[in-house]
Amino acid sequence: MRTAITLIPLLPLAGFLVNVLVGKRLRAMSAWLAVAAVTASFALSVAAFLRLAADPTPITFSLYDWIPVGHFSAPMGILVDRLTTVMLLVVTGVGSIIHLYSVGYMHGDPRYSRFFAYMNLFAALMLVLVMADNYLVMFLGWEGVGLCSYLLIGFWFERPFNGGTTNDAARKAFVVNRIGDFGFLVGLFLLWTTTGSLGFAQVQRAAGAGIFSTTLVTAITILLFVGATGKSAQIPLYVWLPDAMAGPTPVSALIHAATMVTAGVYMVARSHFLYDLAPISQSVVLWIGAATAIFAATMGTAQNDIKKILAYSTISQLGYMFMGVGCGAYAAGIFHLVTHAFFKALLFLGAGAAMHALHDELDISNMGGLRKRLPLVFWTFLIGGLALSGFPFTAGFFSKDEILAQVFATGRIEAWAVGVAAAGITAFYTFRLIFLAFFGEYRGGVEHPHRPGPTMAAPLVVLAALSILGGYLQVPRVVNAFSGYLAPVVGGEQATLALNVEAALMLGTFVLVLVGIAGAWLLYVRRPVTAEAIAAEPGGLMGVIRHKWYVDEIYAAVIVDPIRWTSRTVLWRVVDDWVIHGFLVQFVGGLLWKSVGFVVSFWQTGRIGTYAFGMVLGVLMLLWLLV
Amino acid sequence: MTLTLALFYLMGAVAVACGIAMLLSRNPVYSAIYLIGTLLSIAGIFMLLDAPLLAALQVLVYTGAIMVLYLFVIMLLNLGRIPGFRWWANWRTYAGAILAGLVGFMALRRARPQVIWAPTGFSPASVQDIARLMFTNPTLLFLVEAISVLLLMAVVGAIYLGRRRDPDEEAAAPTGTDDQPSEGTA
Amino acid sequence: MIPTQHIIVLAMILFAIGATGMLLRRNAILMLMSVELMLNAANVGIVGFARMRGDLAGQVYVLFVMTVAAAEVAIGLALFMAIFRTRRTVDTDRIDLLRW
Repeated sequence: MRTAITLIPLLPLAGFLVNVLVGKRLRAMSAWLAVAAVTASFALSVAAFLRLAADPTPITFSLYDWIPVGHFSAPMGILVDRLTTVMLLVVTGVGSIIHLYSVGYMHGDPRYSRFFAYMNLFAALMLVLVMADNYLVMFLGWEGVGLCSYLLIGFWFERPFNGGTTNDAARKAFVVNRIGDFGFLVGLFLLWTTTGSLGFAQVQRAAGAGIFSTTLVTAITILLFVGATGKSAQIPLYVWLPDAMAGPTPVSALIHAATMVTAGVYMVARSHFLYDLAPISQSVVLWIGAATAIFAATMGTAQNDIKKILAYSTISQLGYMFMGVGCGAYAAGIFHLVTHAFFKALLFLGAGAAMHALHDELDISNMGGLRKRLPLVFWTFLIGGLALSGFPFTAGFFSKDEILAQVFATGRIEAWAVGVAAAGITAFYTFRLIFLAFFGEYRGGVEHPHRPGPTMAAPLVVLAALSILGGYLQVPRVVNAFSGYLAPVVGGEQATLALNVEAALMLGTFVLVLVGIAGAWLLYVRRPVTAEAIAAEPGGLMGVIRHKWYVDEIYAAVIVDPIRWTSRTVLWRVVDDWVIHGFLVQFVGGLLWKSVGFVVSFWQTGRIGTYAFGMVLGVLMLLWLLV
Repeated sequence: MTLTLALFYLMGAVAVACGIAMLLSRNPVYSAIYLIGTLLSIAGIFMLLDAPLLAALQVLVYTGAIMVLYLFVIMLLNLGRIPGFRWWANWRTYAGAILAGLVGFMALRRARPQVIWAPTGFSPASVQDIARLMFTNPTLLFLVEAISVLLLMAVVGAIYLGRRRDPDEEAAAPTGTDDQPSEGTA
Repeated sequence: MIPTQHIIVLAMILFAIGATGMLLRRNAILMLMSVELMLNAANVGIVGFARMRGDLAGQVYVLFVMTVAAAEVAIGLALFMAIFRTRRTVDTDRIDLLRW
């Protein structure tokens, strides 16, 4: 089993190396190689899952001693417990599906094999992240997937985007992530100075033994969460995710929906033993999640770019996941992570199919009526949309409602209310998208939009099936497979509600969802909409929302521009030019040169005799000193 | 006064005499010959010190090859006679003498007579003994290999330096300035 | 037997002669010959100590010194030949292109 487990991240890594080195020569094979690597990892992940389903004892071992420095030792260690297997299945499973989809989607791209190299590298690093047994290796994966995100967002680096280039978007992602990582690192430092180790097991033991004072553990958990806000796009560090849509759609599906952005949620769940000790941090996580959920949902209602709508939707759904783990319902949060991976990847891939058919059209004001022209895409997309909205009997319904129920059950009614409101808005913007893109008249520019090929269609179907069936792992009171599976790791459900209360909650949410869908119907199906009307700038509140509440502009004015000004005028002109160059180099240096240098230059006669004499002189003096 | 001791003093004296003669001679070829004399005496001393292989190699390598090389070069450069060794007029002589005196003085003051310098008796080292040591001791073995590389580098370097240059290169090389000669030395 | 101190004294005298020659000679070739003398003096010293300690490794090291000396002479003479070609002199006081 250990070999199998070690192979899980190594196979995609090997795929990366092969593709990077000889990918160009392999051409079409390079893609299939990449797909094979991830699929093989998936098979091994299934094996690991089965093993852990039979026996919940975690498998942990160390590959080698990575950093042994003095007291500090960080082994390259692997931990595979039930939580890990869930993540493994998601990453490799959805990953394989998306890799397969990319074969068709990226066909014809001049840097085809490099794309698959990056995708494999990402898979390998994400697997390192989830299989780590200590915070440092997890951080290695954390940073690594950030790097891959940068590489993949800027994959089409020659394309303009949003007034800049895709590279600007990639850089924004990386820099904002970095800010979060700073918090994460400080948290790690605190952890180490308190416990002397960064391994999960050791920290868990320390937590249980009461080493942490409440303030300390609150500080640590909040700092770690700062990292999560960066990586998982929560308030205040979410601004990179909409721009990350500059990358190819499979990238958006895999990295910015299903896996990388969920790393923060995973991290919190993995650190549950710390968060359980810090109720203040849990509230912080909960409320930021709730605020992000509703805030991002509003922004999704006013966008016209199909991928941006999905991006804000992802941010919002991540907020739900954090609500789950923030109230102690770790299993619920992870459950939503899993179902979200299914339907969000489905939505992205479907959007990609639609874009592909219309020759990379992003704007929904130029789509419409695709229901008849791309039926497969429509039906799968509809299923995904229903799951996203939390429509009953889809996977999203069960996971979202589980979270809302747990939030309510732990007494946080206000947060619950926010979550429910956000669910209504979610339904609204989702169906706005569906109605505008798939219903009504065809507003597109392409004569005959071409249907997706088998490599693109099959993933859509599979994900649609999972978006429905995946929910049945956790039906309240009926099937407890999911939470039961995770219980040995993260503890059981936080609280149980009376049956009628829970039913009432579900009904209430459902009503709101219907209201959202109806609203979208009224606005976008009943009234005929033209392309101009959609594209027009709405005034007032909607205008502000359309501009993403001007958050980017605020950040630019308050943070980015002052830093740039300071660098340019102060540091560059004053310090570099005046002080260092003017004074130190020219004045002091010149002085030394003329005085000391002149004197010393007499020794440089260029004659061997002089040098030999000097050498002998030196040796004699040494002997004098020694003898 | 055993025979070996007497021979040692004799050869030592010859070596020192030849050395001084080498210094004082005006003719470079004579200097080379005197150096050969020194080297041969040292070979003899090696024999007395239970190192017959080294003695043989000294004759073969040093006198047989290196000094021949020197003579070749001296002939090639056609050095002719060299002005006398006016050591009395050179400041370096006196400075060096003072320093050497100081060092010797310090050495004598710190000399430790209790160090046992008596030689342990062993039989003259045969070729087999030296070879066995050289090829089993890992450090020495590594050094042997390294030195062979060194020799290769020397060969390559010498050939490169001595290659025939075409006339353009010759003309382009700087002939340098002709500044005042230093104070009179040999 | 030959007392080791005497051997060392001999080596030191030879070394001093060689050093003096190296410092005071102007002709490059003769300088190199003095260097050879110094190397040989060192060899004598090493053999003497090897004999004192009964360790044969000293003689092996002398072998190495000889080899290195040979290599060094080859290169050195080749160098001076090359210099002679262009400067027409091997007077070290004249060869001072590296002067500041």
